[in-house]
Amino acid sequence: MQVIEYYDDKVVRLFLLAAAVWGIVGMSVGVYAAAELMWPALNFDIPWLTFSRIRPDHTFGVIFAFGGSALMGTCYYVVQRTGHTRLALPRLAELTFWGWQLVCVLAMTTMPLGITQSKEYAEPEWFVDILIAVVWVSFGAVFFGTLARRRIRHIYVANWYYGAFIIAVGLLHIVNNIALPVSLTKSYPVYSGVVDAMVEWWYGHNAVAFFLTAGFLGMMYYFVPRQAQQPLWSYRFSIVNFWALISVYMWAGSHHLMYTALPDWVQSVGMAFSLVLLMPSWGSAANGLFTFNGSWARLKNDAAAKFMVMSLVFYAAATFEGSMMAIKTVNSLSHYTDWTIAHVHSGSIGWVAMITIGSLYAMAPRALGQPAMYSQKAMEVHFWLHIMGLLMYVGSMWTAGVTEGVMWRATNADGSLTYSFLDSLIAIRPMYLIRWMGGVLVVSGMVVMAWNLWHTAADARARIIKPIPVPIPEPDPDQIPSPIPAVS
Amino acid sequence: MSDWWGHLTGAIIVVMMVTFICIWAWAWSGRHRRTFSRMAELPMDDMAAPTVSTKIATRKSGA
Repeated sequence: MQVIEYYDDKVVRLFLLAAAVWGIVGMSVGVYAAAELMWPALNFDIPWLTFSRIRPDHTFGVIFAFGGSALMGTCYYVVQRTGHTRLALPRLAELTFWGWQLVCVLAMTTMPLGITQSKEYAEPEWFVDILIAVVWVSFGAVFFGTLARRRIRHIYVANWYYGAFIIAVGLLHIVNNIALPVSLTKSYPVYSGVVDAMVEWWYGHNAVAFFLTAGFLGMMYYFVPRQAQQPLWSYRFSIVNFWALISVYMWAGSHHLMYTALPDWVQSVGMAFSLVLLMPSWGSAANGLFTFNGSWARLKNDAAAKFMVMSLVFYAAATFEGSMMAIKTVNSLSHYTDWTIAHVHSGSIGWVAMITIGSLYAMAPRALGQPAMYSQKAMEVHFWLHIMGLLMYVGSMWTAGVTEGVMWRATNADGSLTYSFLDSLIAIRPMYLIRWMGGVLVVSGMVVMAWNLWHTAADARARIIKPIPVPIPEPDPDQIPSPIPAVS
Repeated sequence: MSDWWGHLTGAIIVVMMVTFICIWAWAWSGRHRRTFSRMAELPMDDMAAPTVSTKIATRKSGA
Protein backbone atom coordinates (compact mmCIF):
# COMPACT_ATOMS: atom_id res chain seq x y z
CA MET A 1 0.00 0.00 0.00
CA GLN A 2 1.27 3.51 -0.86
CA VAL A 3 2.38 5.38 2.28
CA ILE A 4 1.47 9.10 2.39
CA GLU A 5 3.50 11.38 4.62
CA TYR A 6 4.54 15.02 4.60
CA TYR A 7 7.80 16.80 5.27
CA ASP A 8 7.84 18.40 8.72
CA ASP A 9 8.74 21.99 7.84
CA LYS A 10 7.17 23.78 10.81
CA VAL A 11 10.34 23.57 12.87
CA VAL A 12 12.34 24.63 9.79
CA ARG A 13 10.22 27.79 9.51
CA LEU A 14 10.71 28.55 13.22
CA PHE A 15 14.50 28.30 12.89
CA LEU A 16 14.36 30.43 9.73
CA LEU A 17 12.59 33.18 11.67
CA ALA A 18 15.03 32.84 14.59
CA ALA A 19 18.04 33.08 12.25
CA ALA A 20 16.72 36.32 10.73
CA VAL A 21 16.09 37.87 14.16
CA TRP A 22 19.36 36.73 15.78
CA GLY A 23 21.31 37.82 12.70
CA ILE A 24 20.15 41.39 13.23
CA VAL A 25 20.63 41.24 17.03
CA GLY A 26 24.10 39.65 16.95
CA MET A 27 25.45 41.87 14.20
CA SER A 28 23.95 45.05 15.74
CA VAL A 29 25.79 44.30 18.98
CA GLY A 30 28.96 43.88 16.88
CA VAL A 31 28.40 47.25 15.24
CA TYR A 32 27.95 48.86 18.67
CA ALA A 33 31.15 47.20 19.91
CA ALA A 34 32.97 48.54 16.82
CA ALA A 35 31.56 52.01 17.56
CA GLU A 36 32.90 51.81 21.12
CA LEU A 37 36.40 51.14 19.74
CA MET A 38 36.08 54.27 17.59
CA TRP A 39 34.27 56.42 20.17
CA PRO A 40 35.06 54.94 23.64
CA ALA A 41 32.65 57.33 25.40
CA LEU A 42 29.79 55.28 23.98
CA ASN A 43 30.04 52.86 26.91
CA PHE A 44 28.69 55.72 29.11
CA ASP A 45 30.59 54.18 32.05
CA ILE A 46 27.82 51.59 32.37
CA PRO A 47 29.37 48.23 33.32
CA TRP A 48 27.10 46.01 31.19
CA LEU A 49 27.66 48.25 28.16
CA THR A 50 31.46 48.09 28.19
CA PHE A 51 33.28 46.49 25.25
CA SER A 52 34.48 43.53 27.34
CA ARG A 53 30.88 42.68 28.32
CA ILE A 54 29.20 43.09 24.94
CA ARG A 55 31.91 41.49 22.80
CA PRO A 56 30.94 37.94 23.92
CA ASP A 57 27.32 38.88 23.24
CA HIS A 58 28.29 39.69 19.65
CA THR A 59 30.26 36.46 19.13
CA PHE A 60 27.64 34.26 20.82
CA GLY A 61 24.86 36.09 18.99
CA VAL A 62 26.28 35.63 15.51
CA ILE A 63 27.91 32.20 15.91
CA PHE A 64 25.50 30.26 18.09
CA ALA A 65 22.22 32.20 17.88
CA PHE A 66 22.27 33.23 14.19
CA GLY A 67 24.56 30.50 12.82
CA GLY A 68 23.18 27.82 15.14
CA SER A 69 19.55 28.55 14.26
CA ALA A 70 20.37 28.55 10.53
CA LEU A 71 22.33 25.30 10.86
CA MET A 72 19.64 23.48 12.82
CA GLY A 73 16.87 24.70 10.49
CA THR A 74 18.69 23.75 7.29
CA CYS A 75 19.84 20.47 8.83
CA TYR A 76 16.22 19.46 9.53
CA TYR A 77 15.28 20.50 5.97
CA VAL A 78 18.18 18.70 4.26
CA VAL A 79 18.04 15.43 6.21
CA GLN A 80 14.37 15.00 5.24
CA ARG A 81 14.88 15.80 1.53
CA THR A 82 18.00 13.67 1.11
CA GLY A 83 16.42 10.69 2.85
CA HIS A 84 12.91 11.00 1.36
CA THR A 85 11.39 10.83 4.82
CA ARG A 86 9.83 13.12 7.40
CA LEU A 87 11.54 14.05 10.67
CA ALA A 88 11.78 11.44 13.38
CA LEU A 89 10.68 12.66 16.83
CA PRO A 90 8.91 15.86 15.61
CA ARG A 91 7.96 16.97 19.14
CA LEU A 92 11.56 16.67 20.27
CA ALA A 93 12.59 18.64 17.17
CA GLU A 94 10.29 21.48 18.23
CA LEU A 95 11.68 21.25 21.76
CA THR A 96 15.18 21.70 20.34
CA PHE A 97 13.96 24.97 18.81
CA TRP A 98 12.54 26.36 22.06
CA GLY A 99 15.48 24.96 24.05
CA TRP A 100 18.01 26.62 21.74
CA GLN A 101 16.19 29.96 21.91
CA LEU A 102 16.19 29.72 25.72
CA VAL A 103 19.94 29.01 25.64
CA CYS A 104 20.56 32.06 23.45
CA VAL A 105 18.41 34.40 25.58
CA LEU A 106 19.96 33.15 28.85
CA ALA A 107 23.52 33.42 27.52
CA MET A 108 23.03 36.85 26.02
CA THR A 109 21.40 38.32 29.11
CA THR A 110 23.79 36.83 31.69
CA MET A 111 27.10 37.63 29.94
CA PRO A 112 26.69 41.46 29.99
CA LEU A 113 25.91 41.15 33.72
CA GLY A 114 29.38 39.69 34.23
CA ILE A 115 28.17 36.11 34.73
CA THR A 116 30.84 34.40 32.62
CA GLN A 117 33.43 31.63 32.60
CA SER A 118 35.78 33.93 30.65
CA LYS A 119 36.55 31.14 28.17
CA GLU A 120 36.49 32.55 24.65
CA TYR A 121 33.47 31.36 22.60
CA ALA A 122 32.39 29.35 25.69
CA GLU A 123 31.56 32.23 28.03
CA PRO A 124 28.14 31.12 29.39
CA GLU A 125 28.16 29.77 32.94
CA TRP A 126 27.57 26.17 33.98
CA PHE A 127 23.76 26.23 34.11
CA VAL A 128 23.59 27.43 30.48
CA ASP A 129 26.23 24.85 29.49
CA ILE A 130 24.12 22.01 30.88
CA LEU A 131 21.09 23.27 28.95
CA ILE A 132 23.19 23.48 25.76
CA ALA A 133 24.31 19.85 26.25
CA VAL A 134 20.69 18.66 26.72
CA VAL A 135 19.45 20.53 23.62
CA TRP A 136 22.42 19.31 21.60
CA VAL A 137 21.90 15.65 22.47
CA SER A 138 18.19 16.06 21.57
CA PHE A 139 19.20 17.64 18.24
CA GLY A 140 21.45 14.63 17.58
CA ALA A 141 18.62 12.23 18.46
CA VAL A 142 16.28 13.89 15.93
CA PHE A 143 18.96 14.00 13.20
CA PHE A 144 20.23 10.45 13.57
CA GLY A 145 16.69 9.16 14.17
CA THR A 146 15.67 10.72 10.84
CA LEU A 147 18.70 9.20 9.11
CA ALA A 148 17.69 5.81 10.52
CA ARG A 149 14.26 6.04 8.84
CA ARG A 150 15.56 7.26 5.45
CA ARG A 151 14.34 5.61 2.25
CA ILE A 152 17.58 6.07 0.30
CA ARG A 153 20.26 3.65 1.41
CA HIS A 154 23.29 5.86 0.67
CA ILE A 155 23.57 8.76 3.10
CA TYR A 156 23.97 11.97 1.07
CA VAL A 157 27.30 13.72 1.75
CA ALA A 158 25.72 16.87 3.27
CA ASN A 159 24.47 14.64 6.09
CA TRP A 160 28.01 13.36 6.72
CA TYR A 161 29.05 16.94 7.39
CA TYR A 162 25.97 17.69 9.52
CA GLY A 163 26.58 14.45 11.46
CA ALA A 164 30.24 15.32 12.11
CA PHE A 165 29.13 18.81 13.19
CA ILE A 166 26.66 17.40 15.72
CA ILE A 167 28.99 14.74 17.19
CA ALA A 168 32.12 16.89 17.34
CA VAL A 169 30.43 20.02 18.75
CA GLY A 170 28.80 17.91 21.48
CA LEU A 171 32.18 16.41 22.38
CA LEU A 172 33.99 19.76 22.31
CA HIS A 173 31.34 21.54 24.35
CA ILE A 174 31.20 18.93 27.12
CA VAL A 175 34.99 18.45 27.48
CA ASN A 176 35.80 22.18 27.39
CA ASN A 177 33.10 23.09 29.92
CA ILE A 178 33.85 20.55 32.65
CA ALA A 179 33.79 22.82 35.70
CA LEU A 180 33.04 22.88 39.40
CA PRO A 181 30.12 25.16 40.28
CA VAL A 182 30.61 27.07 43.53
CA SER A 183 27.33 29.01 43.31
CA LEU A 184 24.46 29.48 40.88
CA THR A 185 26.41 32.07 38.91
CA LYS A 186 30.05 31.00 39.33
CA SER A 187 32.09 27.94 38.44
CA TYR A 188 35.76 27.13 37.96
CA PRO A 189 37.16 24.93 35.17
CA VAL A 190 38.86 21.69 36.21
CA TYR A 191 41.85 22.57 34.02
CA SER A 192 44.54 25.04 34.95
CA GLY A 193 47.46 26.90 33.38
CA VAL A 194 48.73 25.82 29.99
CA VAL A 195 46.47 22.73 29.98
CA ASP A 196 43.45 25.03 30.33
CA ALA A 197 44.77 27.13 27.43
CA MET A 198 45.28 24.07 25.23
CA VAL A 199 41.82 22.63 26.02
CA GLU A 200 40.30 26.04 25.36
CA TRP A 201 41.94 26.32 21.94
CA TRP A 202 41.34 22.69 21.08
CA TYR A 203 37.69 23.66 21.65
CA GLY A 204 37.96 27.12 20.08
CA HIS A 205 39.63 26.02 16.90
CA ASN A 206 37.38 23.00 16.47
CA ALA A 207 34.33 25.20 17.04
CA VAL A 208 35.61 26.92 13.88
CA ALA A 209 36.19 23.50 12.30
CA PHE A 210 32.98 21.71 13.12
CA PHE A 211 30.49 24.51 13.83
CA LEU A 212 31.63 27.17 11.34
CA THR A 213 33.05 24.85 8.68
CA ALA A 214 31.64 21.29 8.71
CA GLY A 215 28.09 22.44 9.48
CA PHE A 216 28.10 25.11 6.79
CA LEU A 217 29.74 22.72 4.29
CA GLY A 218 26.72 20.48 4.89
CA MET A 219 24.58 23.46 3.87
CA MET A 220 26.84 24.12 0.86
CA TYR A 221 26.84 20.52 -0.43
CA TYR A 222 23.04 20.52 -0.56
CA PHE A 223 22.05 24.06 -1.52
CA VAL A 224 24.79 24.81 -4.10
CA PRO A 225 23.84 22.00 -6.54
CA ARG A 226 20.17 22.77 -5.87
CA GLN A 227 20.55 26.46 -6.68
CA ALA A 228 22.94 25.91 -9.61
CA GLN A 229 20.56 23.23 -10.94
CA GLN A 230 23.64 21.17 -11.76
CA PRO A 231 24.81 17.87 -10.28
CA LEU A 232 27.56 18.20 -7.68
CA TRP A 233 30.81 18.51 -9.69
CA SER A 234 32.44 15.44 -8.07
CA TYR A 235 30.56 13.41 -5.50
CA ARG A 236 33.50 11.07 -4.81
CA PHE A 237 35.83 14.04 -4.30
CA SER A 238 33.41 15.38 -1.67
CA ILE A 239 33.81 12.12 0.29
CA VAL A 240 37.62 12.26 0.23
CA ASN A 241 37.47 15.91 1.32
CA PHE A 242 35.16 15.03 4.18
CA TRP A 243 37.50 12.47 5.73
CA ALA A 244 40.57 14.63 5.14
CA LEU A 245 38.91 17.69 6.70
CA ILE A 246 37.61 16.06 9.85
CA SER A 247 40.80 14.08 10.52
CA VAL A 248 43.18 17.03 10.02
CA TYR A 249 41.24 19.87 11.68
CA MET A 250 41.33 18.27 15.16
CA TRP A 251 45.12 18.79 15.46
CA ALA A 252 45.46 22.41 14.34
CA GLY A 253 44.20 24.20 17.49
CA SER A 254 47.63 24.90 18.94
CA HIS A 255 48.32 27.47 16.19
CA HIS A 256 46.29 29.86 18.38
CA LEU A 257 49.02 29.62 21.03
CA MET A 258 52.21 30.38 19.07
CA TYR A 259 55.08 31.78 21.15
CA THR A 260 53.34 31.00 24.44
CA ALA A 261 54.16 28.63 27.33
CA LEU A 262 52.83 25.73 25.23
CA PRO A 263 55.64 23.24 24.40
CA ASP A 264 57.35 24.22 21.15
CA TRP A 265 56.72 20.87 19.47
CA VAL A 266 52.95 21.20 20.08
CA GLN A 267 53.04 24.59 18.34
CA SER A 268 54.90 23.00 15.40
CA VAL A 269 52.33 20.18 15.15
CA GLY A 270 49.59 22.83 14.96
CA MET A 271 51.47 24.67 12.21
CA ALA A 272 52.07 21.52 10.14
CA PHE A 273 48.44 20.35 10.35
CA SER A 274 47.22 23.87 9.50
CA LEU A 275 49.23 23.79 6.26
CA VAL A 276 47.88 20.34 5.31
CA LEU A 277 44.38 21.62 6.07
CA LEU A 278 44.51 23.88 3.04
CA MET A 279 44.01 20.88 0.73
CA PRO A 280 40.60 19.63 1.92
CA SER A 281 39.45 23.23 2.39
CA TRP A 282 40.25 24.15 -1.20
CA GLY A 283 38.90 20.78 -2.33
CA SER A 284 35.42 21.64 -1.04
CA ALA A 285 35.62 25.22 -2.32
CA ALA A 286 36.59 23.94 -5.80
CA ASN A 287 33.85 21.31 -5.73
CA GLY A 288 31.24 23.97 -4.97
CA LEU A 289 32.53 26.46 -7.55
CA PHE A 290 32.90 23.87 -10.33
CA THR A 291 29.30 22.81 -9.67
CA PHE A 292 28.32 26.18 -11.17
CA ASN A 293 30.08 25.21 -14.46
CA GLY A 294 27.39 25.41 -17.11
CA SER A 295 25.15 27.69 -15.10
CA TRP A 296 27.27 30.78 -14.55
CA ALA A 297 24.58 32.74 -16.40
CA ARG A 298 22.37 32.32 -13.32
CA LEU A 299 24.60 34.76 -11.50
CA LYS A 300 23.22 37.59 -13.60
CA ASN A 301 19.76 37.48 -12.03
CA ASP A 302 19.98 35.09 -9.11
CA ALA A 303 21.12 36.84 -5.91
CA ALA A 304 21.08 33.58 -3.91
CA ALA A 305 23.58 32.08 -6.38
CA LYS A 306 25.71 35.24 -6.09
CA PHE A 307 25.83 34.84 -2.31
CA MET A 308 26.85 31.19 -2.70
CA VAL A 309 29.60 31.80 -5.26
CA MET A 310 31.09 34.68 -3.28
CA SER A 311 30.90 32.63 -0.09
CA LEU A 312 32.99 29.91 -1.74
CA VAL A 313 35.52 32.47 -2.97
CA PHE A 314 35.84 33.82 0.58
CA TYR A 315 36.01 30.26 1.98
CA ALA A 316 39.01 29.58 -0.27
CA ALA A 317 40.58 32.97 0.57
CA ALA A 318 40.05 32.73 4.34
CA THR A 319 41.37 29.15 4.58
CA PHE A 320 44.46 30.10 2.56
CA GLU A 321 45.00 33.07 4.85
CA GLY A 322 44.47 30.88 7.94
CA SER A 323 47.07 28.36 6.81
CA MET A 324 49.56 31.15 6.10
CA MET A 325 48.90 32.82 9.49
CA ALA A 326 49.65 29.50 11.21
CA ILE A 327 53.25 29.65 9.91
CA LYS A 328 55.29 30.77 12.90
CA THR A 329 57.11 33.62 11.16
CA VAL A 330 53.88 35.06 9.73
CA ASN A 331 52.17 34.57 13.10
CA SER A 332 54.88 36.59 14.82
CA LEU A 333 53.67 39.59 12.79
CA SER A 334 49.93 38.91 12.74
CA HIS A 335 49.22 37.66 16.28
CA TYR A 336 47.47 40.09 18.65
CA THR A 337 46.88 42.55 15.77
CA ASP A 338 43.68 43.39 13.89
CA TRP A 339 44.85 41.07 11.09
CA THR A 340 43.32 38.27 13.18
CA ILE A 341 40.06 40.26 13.30
CA ALA A 342 40.19 40.68 9.51
CA HIS A 343 40.81 36.94 9.05
CA VAL A 344 37.96 35.81 11.28
CA HIS A 345 35.52 38.25 9.64
CA SER A 346 36.63 37.27 6.15
CA GLY A 347 35.61 33.77 7.22
CA SER A 348 32.47 34.73 9.11
CA ILE A 349 30.94 37.61 7.07
CA GLY A 350 32.45 36.23 3.85
CA TRP A 351 32.08 32.45 4.03
CA VAL A 352 29.65 31.63 6.86
CA ALA A 353 27.16 34.49 6.58
CA MET A 354 27.04 34.42 2.77
CA ILE A 355 26.52 30.65 2.44
CA THR A 356 23.85 30.96 5.15
CA ILE A 357 22.07 33.87 3.48
CA GLY A 358 22.27 32.17 0.06
CA SER A 359 20.88 28.93 1.51
CA LEU A 360 18.10 30.73 3.42
CA TYR A 361 17.06 32.54 0.23
CA ALA A 362 17.07 29.18 -1.57
CA MET A 363 15.17 27.32 1.15
CA ALA A 364 12.72 29.98 2.37
CA PRO A 365 10.28 30.05 -0.58
CA ARG A 366 9.99 26.26 -0.53
CA ALA A 367 9.55 26.09 3.26
CA LEU A 368 7.08 29.01 3.18
CA GLY A 369 4.95 27.64 0.34
CA GLN A 370 5.88 30.26 -2.26
CA PRO A 371 7.35 29.95 -5.75
CA ALA A 372 10.01 32.59 -5.01
CA MET A 373 11.11 35.21 -2.48
CA TYR A 374 8.79 38.22 -2.18
CA SER A 375 11.28 40.67 -3.71
CA GLN A 376 14.16 39.76 -6.03
CA LYS A 377 15.26 43.40 -6.04
CA ALA A 378 15.60 43.37 -2.24
CA MET A 379 17.81 40.26 -2.51
CA GLU A 380 20.01 42.10 -4.99
CA VAL A 381 20.20 45.15 -2.68
CA HIS A 382 21.11 42.83 0.21
CA PHE A 383 23.91 41.24 -1.80
CA TRP A 384 25.54 44.58 -2.65
CA LEU A 385 25.14 45.96 0.90
CA HIS A 386 26.72 42.80 2.27
CA ILE A 387 29.62 42.62 -0.18
CA MET A 388 30.44 46.32 0.20
CA GLY A 389 30.28 46.07 3.99
CA LEU A 390 32.45 42.96 3.93
CA LEU A 391 35.14 44.56 1.74
CA MET A 392 35.21 47.68 3.91
CA TYR A 393 35.45 45.55 7.05
CA VAL A 394 38.23 43.18 6.00
CA GLY A 395 40.12 45.79 3.96
CA SER A 396 40.33 48.18 6.90
CA MET A 397 41.26 45.48 9.40
CA TRP A 398 43.96 44.00 7.14
CA THR A 399 45.47 47.47 6.83
CA ALA A 400 45.18 48.09 10.58
CA GLY A 401 46.67 44.68 11.42
CA VAL A 402 49.75 45.00 9.23
CA THR A 403 50.25 48.59 10.44
CA GLU A 404 50.15 47.44 14.08
CA GLY A 405 52.44 44.46 13.44
CA VAL A 406 55.06 46.54 11.66
CA MET A 407 54.94 49.38 14.22
CA TRP A 408 55.16 47.05 17.24
CA ARG A 409 58.28 45.28 15.95
CA ALA A 410 60.10 48.46 14.83
CA THR A 411 63.19 49.19 16.94
CA ASN A 412 65.75 51.99 17.09
CA ALA A 413 69.48 51.48 16.71
CA ASP A 414 69.84 51.19 20.50
CA GLY A 415 67.21 48.40 20.66
CA SER A 416 64.42 50.49 22.15
CA LEU A 417 60.94 50.45 20.58
CA THR A 418 60.37 53.08 17.88
CA TYR A 419 56.67 53.48 18.61
CA SER A 420 54.56 53.38 21.75
CA PHE A 421 51.32 51.36 21.77
CA LEU A 422 49.41 54.65 21.67
CA ASP A 423 51.20 55.62 18.42
CA SER A 424 49.89 52.46 16.75
CA LEU A 425 46.38 53.08 18.09
CA ILE A 426 46.33 56.60 16.64
CA ALA A 427 47.66 55.31 13.30
CA ILE A 428 44.81 52.83 12.85
CA ARG A 429 41.97 55.08 14.07
CA PRO A 430 40.65 55.82 10.54
CA MET A 431 40.50 52.05 9.93
CA TYR A 432 38.23 51.66 12.98
CA LEU A 433 35.83 54.17 11.43
CA ILE A 434 35.79 52.30 8.09
CA ARG A 435 35.26 48.99 9.93
CA TRP A 436 32.24 50.44 11.76
CA MET A 437 30.76 51.76 8.51
CA GLY A 438 31.24 48.34 6.90
CA GLY A 439 29.41 46.75 9.83
CA VAL A 440 26.51 49.18 9.42
CA LEU A 441 26.15 48.12 5.76
CA VAL A 442 26.14 44.41 6.67
CA VAL A 443 23.45 44.91 9.35
CA SER A 444 21.39 47.02 6.92
CA GLY A 445 21.47 44.09 4.51
CA MET A 446 20.21 41.78 7.25
CA VAL A 447 17.28 44.13 7.91
CA VAL A 448 16.43 44.02 4.19
CA MET A 449 16.51 40.20 4.35
CA ALA A 450 14.23 40.13 7.41
CA TRP A 451 11.74 42.45 5.63
CA ASN A 452 11.82 40.20 2.55
CA LEU A 453 11.34 37.03 4.60
CA TRP A 454 8.46 38.62 6.54
CA HIS A 455 6.56 39.28 3.30
CA THR A 456 7.47 35.89 1.83
CA ALA A 457 6.05 34.32 5.01
CA ALA A 458 2.64 36.01 4.64
CA ASP A 459 0.85 32.73 3.84
CA ALA A 460 2.75 30.85 6.56
CA ARG A 461 1.64 33.46 9.10
CA ALA A 462 -1.93 33.03 7.90
CA ARG A 463 -1.46 29.23 8.29
CA ILE A 464 -2.71 28.49 4.78
CA ILE A 465 0.31 26.72 3.30
CA LYS A 466 0.00 23.11 2.33
CA PRO A 467 2.58 20.60 3.60
CA ILE A 468 4.86 19.10 0.96
CA PRO A 469 4.42 15.35 0.41
CA VAL A 470 7.43 13.07 0.70
CA PRO A 471 8.12 11.39 -2.65
CA ILE A 472 7.72 7.69 -1.89
CA PRO A 473 8.16 5.63 -5.04
CA GLU A 474 6.76 2.12 -5.43
CA PRO A 475 9.52 -0.32 -4.41
CA ASP A 476 11.79 -0.96 -7.40
CA PRO A 477 14.38 -3.73 -6.95
CA ASP A 478 16.76 -2.08 -9.47
CA GLN A 479 16.58 1.39 -7.95
CA ILE A 480 19.91 3.25 -7.62
CA PRO A 481 20.73 3.78 -4.80
CA SER A 482 18.88 0.86 -3.23
CA PRO A 483 15.90 1.89 -1.12
CA ILE A 484 15.36 0.94 2.47
CA PRO A 485 11.82 -0.48 2.94
CA ALA A 486 9.32 2.33 3.55
CA VAL A 487 8.56 3.10 7.18
CA SER A 488 4.84 3.47 7.83
CA MET B 1 62.08 10.84 22.31
CA SER B 2 62.37 7.16 23.21
CA ASP B 3 62.74 4.47 20.50
CA TRP B 4 59.42 2.95 21.52
CA TRP B 5 57.58 6.26 21.11
CA GLY B 6 59.27 6.91 17.76
CA HIS B 7 58.25 3.49 16.38
CA LEU B 8 54.69 3.99 17.62
CA THR B 9 54.27 7.42 16.00
CA GLY B 10 55.83 6.08 12.79
CA ALA B 11 53.41 3.15 12.73
CA ILE B 12 50.43 5.46 13.33
CA ILE B 13 51.50 7.69 10.41
CA VAL B 14 51.75 4.64 8.10
CA VAL B 15 48.31 3.42 9.22
CA MET B 16 46.80 6.89 8.62
CA MET B 17 48.37 7.13 5.14
CA VAL B 18 47.13 3.65 4.17
CA THR B 19 43.65 4.50 5.50
CA PHE B 20 43.58 7.69 3.43
CA ILE B 21 44.61 5.82 0.27
CA CYS B 22 41.89 3.21 0.99
CA ILE B 23 39.29 6.01 1.24
CA TRP B 24 40.39 7.28 -2.20
CA ALA B 25 40.18 3.74 -3.61
CA TRP B 26 36.72 3.23 -2.08
CA ALA B 27 35.42 6.55 -3.42
CA TRP B 28 36.82 5.93 -6.93
CA SER B 29 35.79 2.26 -7.22
CA GLY B 30 33.59 1.51 -10.20
CA ARG B 31 30.85 -0.17 -8.19
CA HIS B 32 29.83 3.16 -6.65
CA ARG B 33 29.70 5.06 -9.94
CA ARG B 34 25.95 4.72 -10.58
CA THR B 35 25.01 5.49 -6.98
CA PHE B 36 27.28 8.53 -6.77
CA SER B 37 26.00 9.89 -10.11
CA ARG B 38 22.44 9.66 -8.80
CA MET B 39 23.47 11.18 -5.45
CA ALA B 40 25.12 14.16 -7.18
CA GLU B 41 21.68 14.99 -8.65
CA LEU B 42 19.67 14.41 -5.46
CA PRO B 43 19.49 18.10 -4.35
CA MET B 44 17.78 19.02 -7.63
CA ASP B 45 14.81 16.75 -6.81
CA ASP B 46 13.51 19.32 -4.33
CA MET B 47 12.65 21.80 -7.08
CA ALA B 48 10.46 19.37 -9.03
CA ALA B 49 7.21 19.39 -7.04
CA PRO B 50 4.87 22.42 -6.89
CA THR B 51 5.29 24.64 -3.83
CA VAL B 52 2.04 26.60 -3.84
CA SER B 53 -1.09 24.94 -2.52
CA THR B 54 -4.32 25.05 -4.47
CA LYS B 55 -5.81 27.12 -1.65
CA ILE B 56 -3.18 29.85 -2.13
CA ALA B 57 -3.48 29.74 -5.91
CA THR B 58 -7.24 30.17 -5.60
CA ARG B 59 -6.88 33.05 -3.16
CA LYS B 60 -4.33 34.83 -5.34
CA SER B 61 -6.46 34.53 -8.47
CA GLY B 62 -9.21 36.30 -6.57
CA ALA B 63 -11.56 33.33 -6.70
